[in-house]
Amino acid sequence: MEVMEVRNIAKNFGGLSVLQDVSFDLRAGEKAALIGPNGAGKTTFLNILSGLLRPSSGSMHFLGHDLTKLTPNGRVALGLSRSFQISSLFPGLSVFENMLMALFGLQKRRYQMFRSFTGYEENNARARELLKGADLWLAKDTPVSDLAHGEKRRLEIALSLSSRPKMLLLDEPNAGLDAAETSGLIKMIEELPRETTTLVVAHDVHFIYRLCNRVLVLYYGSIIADGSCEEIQADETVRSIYLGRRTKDARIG
Amino acid sequence: MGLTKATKGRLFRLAPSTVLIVLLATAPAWADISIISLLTKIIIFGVLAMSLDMVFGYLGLWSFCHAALFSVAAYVDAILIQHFGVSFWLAAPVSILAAAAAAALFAWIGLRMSGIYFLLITLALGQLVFSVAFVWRAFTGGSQGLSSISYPNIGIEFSPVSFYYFTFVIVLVCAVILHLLMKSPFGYSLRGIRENETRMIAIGFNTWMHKFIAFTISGAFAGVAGVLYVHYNGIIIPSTGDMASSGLITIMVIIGGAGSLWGGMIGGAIIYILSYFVSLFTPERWPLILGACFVAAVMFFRGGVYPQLLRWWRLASGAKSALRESREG
Repeated sequence: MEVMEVRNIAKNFGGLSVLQDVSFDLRAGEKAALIGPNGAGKTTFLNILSGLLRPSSGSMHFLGHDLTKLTPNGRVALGLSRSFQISSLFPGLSVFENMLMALFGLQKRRYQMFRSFTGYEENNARARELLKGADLWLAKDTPVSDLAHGEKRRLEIALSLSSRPKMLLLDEPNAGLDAAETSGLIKMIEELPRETTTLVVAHDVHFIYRLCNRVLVLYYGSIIADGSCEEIQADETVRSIYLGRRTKDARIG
Repeated sequence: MGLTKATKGRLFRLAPSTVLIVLLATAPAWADISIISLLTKIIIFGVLAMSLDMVFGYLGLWSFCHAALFSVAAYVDAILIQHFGVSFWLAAPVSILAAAAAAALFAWIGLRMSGIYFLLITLALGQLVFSVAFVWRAFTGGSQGLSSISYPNIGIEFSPVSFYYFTFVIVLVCAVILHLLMKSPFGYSLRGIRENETRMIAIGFNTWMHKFIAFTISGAFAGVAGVLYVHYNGIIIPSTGDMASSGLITIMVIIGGAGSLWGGMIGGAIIYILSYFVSLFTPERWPLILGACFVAAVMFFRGGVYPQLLRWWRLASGAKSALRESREG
């Protein structure tokens, strides 16, 4: 079953064309990576999928719903969640409060005015579960501004998981993490329900090969390759982009 | 039966606000009538400052129209009572609703922008209220304003002291409501928007709606202060709602501590108490003193006077319990 259908997405910033004619489908439970050199348009594309940017043209359907004009919070309500390249948290709040905030995001209780923020036992229990899964329970009362980089990354992912998403967009989730922390992160993602579709933007090829079964290569705003990890590894065009060798069928621009 | 360590800690933390409330509640026993009048003014402007703090300190919106919202309620209340003979029980809620409606309209217009542009729009809308009050003489009295407004006619013969208690009870109720509001999921969402609006959107919040509701509620509380003020002062003039007044309320919140709710009241107390006593000696140099206080508060009380006092109090609390434990150990 196709979860996400992307058709001919283009994005221009004034005269600068950042994405051109991007099209692909993702199936339920698929773990795909979107790779490409710096400036290829990966984060712009993620911003378009999550609704933070509007495409200049093209369409996107998620579980049959047209996303093109849907608000970002409307997309989250459908089950599309994302993490950010640079940890995007609430630095003045504690780890536990960050987690609770994410849990309230999709609940009508977010408008509740006369009951304590920490007074909902089911939310507290779910926050505890998510923080234990991210190995952050012992730091629950720590202000987020005092967390180490790896802990912030884990919390970033945990916030994205709070809405039990059907599809997860991860923007360079292992940026700045060491090998042990990256393994912990992979474990967190692997423990997601099997039907959760994941699209990961990353530079670290080893991380991608451990986590994903499909790779899309974005180069100057266009998808130039799409296949399994082995196929992408063997693709001459991709190799030329990453290793700097020119081949006669390289499609540039 | 001994108190638990957590209960003792909570009592110690609550001690400053309890002392403050007891002092205010017993004010007529220890203060003369001019101080009672000053305290009435402080607590009325305290509600106004808390209403601004809700959007400025908690939500991070630089609003410059709260004095205008305050004066909308004051004018509506005075007009209804003087021109139409409406009772206080009807005039007061209608005035508060009018301030809330004006706030909703301002938010609907202003929230298309953010940051400094939002400030400029609210400043312009506030000045619009000032201009209407100035030119609509038939109702507002123009530059002379509306005067001879008496204490509320609610079947009680008010004196300055009984009006102080009337105000004190309403202010206390407002403070408790705002306190509960800020501890609720809605209140936390405002802090979340201030800290990271993009993330709030990404986790499903409709941040525009939260800002709109918060601004409207804030306008209602500014309206409560406006209604109390017009009966306290007996006169309302256009400059009550101008941008200089909005600036003064912003200074109250910054000096007291933005995002701490009670800070606005403390900031108002500092300004009005200083104003009262300094004016006794040197009325012309009062603005100079205010400027110096503002600079000193920003330099030496990072985050405001109230949060800094709380930090010192908690440090003292921690030091005392550590000392006690070491003795017991």
